[in-house]
Amino acid sequence: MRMLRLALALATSLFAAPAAHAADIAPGIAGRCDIVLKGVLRDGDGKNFSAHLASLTKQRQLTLCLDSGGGDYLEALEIIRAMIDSPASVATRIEKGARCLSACALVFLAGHQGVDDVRPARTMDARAQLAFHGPYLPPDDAGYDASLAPLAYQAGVQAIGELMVLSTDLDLFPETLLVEALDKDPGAFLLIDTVDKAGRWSISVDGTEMPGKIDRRMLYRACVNDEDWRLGEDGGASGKPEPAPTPLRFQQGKVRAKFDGFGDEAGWTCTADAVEIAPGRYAIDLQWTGGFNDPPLRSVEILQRNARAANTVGSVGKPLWIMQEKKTRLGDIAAR
Amino acid sequence: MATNLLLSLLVSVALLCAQAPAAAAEIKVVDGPNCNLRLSGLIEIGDAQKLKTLLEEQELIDQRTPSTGNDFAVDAGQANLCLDSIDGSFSEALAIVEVLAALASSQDKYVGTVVEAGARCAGPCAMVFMAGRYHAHHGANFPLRKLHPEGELVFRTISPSVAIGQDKGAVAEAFATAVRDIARMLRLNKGASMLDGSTDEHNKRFPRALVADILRLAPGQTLPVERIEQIYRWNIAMVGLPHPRTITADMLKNACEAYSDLDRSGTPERFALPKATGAIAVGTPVTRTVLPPASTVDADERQACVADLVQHPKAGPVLNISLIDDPTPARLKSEATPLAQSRKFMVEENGGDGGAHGLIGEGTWLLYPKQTRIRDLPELMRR
Repeated sequence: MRMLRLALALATSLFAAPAAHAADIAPGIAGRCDIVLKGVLRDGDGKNFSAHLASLTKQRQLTLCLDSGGGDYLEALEIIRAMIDSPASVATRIEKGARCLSACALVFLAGHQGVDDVRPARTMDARAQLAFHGPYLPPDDAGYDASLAPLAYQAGVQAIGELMVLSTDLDLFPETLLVEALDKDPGAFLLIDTVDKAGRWSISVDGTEMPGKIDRRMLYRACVNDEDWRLGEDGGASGKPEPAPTPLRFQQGKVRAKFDGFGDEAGWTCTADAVEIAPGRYAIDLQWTGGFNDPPLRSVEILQRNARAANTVGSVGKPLWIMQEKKTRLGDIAAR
Repeated sequence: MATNLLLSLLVSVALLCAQAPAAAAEIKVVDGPNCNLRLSGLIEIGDAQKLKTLLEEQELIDQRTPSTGNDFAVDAGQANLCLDSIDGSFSEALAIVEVLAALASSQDKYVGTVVEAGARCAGPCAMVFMAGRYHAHHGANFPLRKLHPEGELVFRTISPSVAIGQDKGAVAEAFATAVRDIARMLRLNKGASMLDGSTDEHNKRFPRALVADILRLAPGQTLPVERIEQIYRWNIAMVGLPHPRTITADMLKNACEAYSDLDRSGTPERFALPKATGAIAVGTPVTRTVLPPASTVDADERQACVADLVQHPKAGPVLNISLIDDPTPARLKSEATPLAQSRKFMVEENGGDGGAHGLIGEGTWLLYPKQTRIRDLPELMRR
């Protein structure tokens, strides 16, 4: 850590353009964005953010809205540390039209709810941009002395080491996402642009078009996605053909479909409930059972609340976009 | 995400890339008490291929693996690899781990790892050590990495997988290589998830807490594995320990508290001693001790620890521990496994899937305080 801090102190004086603006950290729309962070992360932003967060002593639950093209990795780590250490839980959000790239994307991942039992709480609008890659040194920014190269390797190792420390014991930084992000070259991005990428990495998506009707195949896809995302792999009931998009017959505003053959030794059954909560508006729920029993329908109020965005593993109610094919692009299901 | 880390490098100690030694490791089939393969010497380019060839050509199933009576446990090949290597190529060590991971996922062949008495496994070797696994059932596999109290296991930071250049772009490229090397290491955790999709950190090849510790070591700095809390946190098993002669309620409390730290993050539950706190009769077929929650525990988080000490015909005294929530006398009676069943599970079924590989119940080393040095364990156990 000493090495990193020293590096930052020395490097800032050399690399950061003197006129460069730090990010704006300010209050936003009450109830939606308690804090708004806008602009490129630069030296001092970690401290500014920590101070701002600490000043909001009354709130137990906050939302941080992000709109940033990235910036300094170490400042991002400092912001993440402040979010995790705060007595309040800090959720994150990327609003319609905003972008959150690179160092900002790491901050986005740190969005959570709960204090002791921390769960991911990060929401992007389907019309926002979210993209990851690993930290890098700007190529030949100041005519590096090549003899420093072996030490640059150690600096890289320690930079990731610091992220590992922050993410230990927390379910906020999925390993498969980190691996894919770290493997990207500086100019390349891991874009979160499909239903599969959002679902797999517990990113909630808001601002999506609601389907006008629900058919049997859509509920089946919801089960497959839920299974695959829970297992972190493409397993599920793979190999079985998808059912036809048969229309569902709602009775008293409710319909249930059951699909078996999931999981280990094909012993799991997915029970999918769809509830019409208003004309043409739906909520869905999935329940997994190991036998043939019929689980009761769960609270319609909770389903309704979770119908739009939340996708926490094991949650009651699922977002409607879980019924989409994995490769569906978020832009294609965005509300117009 | 420009990372301006570079300049401190000017003041850092110069401990640069050691020249790669020419000699590679010796990898051969052996007939030892703990393993049927042995890797010794510096790990160098070509060793992964050498091991792969050997593993593919040889009959893999280690005949020393006793049968559990569990039909599922024996449906995969299992070899055990003894390690004795203190240096070499980090990149080649990862290549070895990649070979082991591919064998497990594509051919259902698993390799456990062992550091025996007198052996030293440091740096790249320690990475290979962490990759040791056994097959439990239906593709679910778990760590099988055993350390002898007189063996030496030492982690060091990683080193570049490719030669670092001397030209203008070398500095940025060296940084990028570090990031890619770590991605390569973390990718090897794939396939280490449980059947229900959960990914307990301690069941991974490279638990994140360990990765964090390793990556923050300076070049030349070492992280020796020498205390009970480390081997529990990183899910390392022990081999070659004597049977404990004396077991007290205090010792069972140590074991219960360690066991209750389910995510192994260093935050255990707290238990009180039972009313009778004398020595437990070691050697009797089965003894049950119930440890109530400590009085300081909140009412809604109260758990009791049921610690069964079972005399196993080969393994000696083994521990079967379970935790009971909200432990009223009625719940203790209805929730705790009947004593006879607990004994049957430990003796006849060897405590489940790991039993075939010598992992029967909780390690008796959990009976000792977590700060205990593993080197001191044999003497403590003989007391």
